Amino acid sequence: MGKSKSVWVLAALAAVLLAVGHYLGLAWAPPDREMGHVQRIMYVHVPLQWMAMLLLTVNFGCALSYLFKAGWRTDSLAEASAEVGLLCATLGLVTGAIWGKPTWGVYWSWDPRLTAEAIMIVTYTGYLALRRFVEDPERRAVWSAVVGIIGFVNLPIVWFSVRWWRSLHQVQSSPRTVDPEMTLALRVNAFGFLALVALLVLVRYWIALRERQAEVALPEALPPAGPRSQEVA
Amino acid sequence: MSSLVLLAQAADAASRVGVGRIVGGWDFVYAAYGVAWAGLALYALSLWVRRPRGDAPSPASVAGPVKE
Repeated sequence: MGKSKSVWVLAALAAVLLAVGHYLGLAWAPPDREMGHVQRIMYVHVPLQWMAMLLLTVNFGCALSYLFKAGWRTDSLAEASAEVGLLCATLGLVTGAIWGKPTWGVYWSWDPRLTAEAIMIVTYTGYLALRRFVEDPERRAVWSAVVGIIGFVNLPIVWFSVRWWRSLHQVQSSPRTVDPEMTLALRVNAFGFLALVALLVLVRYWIALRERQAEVALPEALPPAGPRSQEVA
Repeated sequence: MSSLVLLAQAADAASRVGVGRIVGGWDFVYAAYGVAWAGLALYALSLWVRRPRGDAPSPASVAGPVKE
């Protein structure tokens, strides 16, 4: 499948699934027994958090893979997945804070889940900053792979924090604990966001790959070091 | 006696837990969806601005670092 065809297929899939999912979440699914209509924020907050966890796990896989077998494709996918994963985590945190105000009474609390999530966002912001600061592509790829592996250690803490420390943030719901109509709305939105982030990662991957190509091609564009260049020096 | 005190403390804590259902709240729903979509749209715009132009990279140039 060609590049532009992949883009259009993913874009169409995301548009259809998210349009249906948002209709189900905002109009069709019943309001929560206690949270009322505010619970509808979950249809965007939860899929964004799932996508963040998924993409940052992809980043970990790429980081590990790069250290065993170096390749620009792996490094480019690591960069793309970290950037889109960070975007999803940040938007997930903000939508969660908006949900927290009417539900908990505060936008922010130093709850273990929220704190672990904030640490995750800071870590991957640092990961992307590192990639900007290091000019040598090989060194950048190795260093960022190491940071990606270290950063991944926090992901299980983020996921299990609600079970390990039973505090303000509730534990994960399951289809057995919520209305089937809510489960359907959540699943359709989750697959819609999956198609959307796949599209964003794909485009970001092509951009990263082109940047690597330009960086690798640069030394060849420079004049070779010969007797004349030594004379000049 | 101490168990009675503990029971009284538990009852007091339970009475402070909120009851009922949140009424309204659509402003928060619209704000959350608005922020999420604004963020995603801005990121998509940034990808459009950074989009690759010109020929596709050759397989050799994206193979990976050359180990000496």
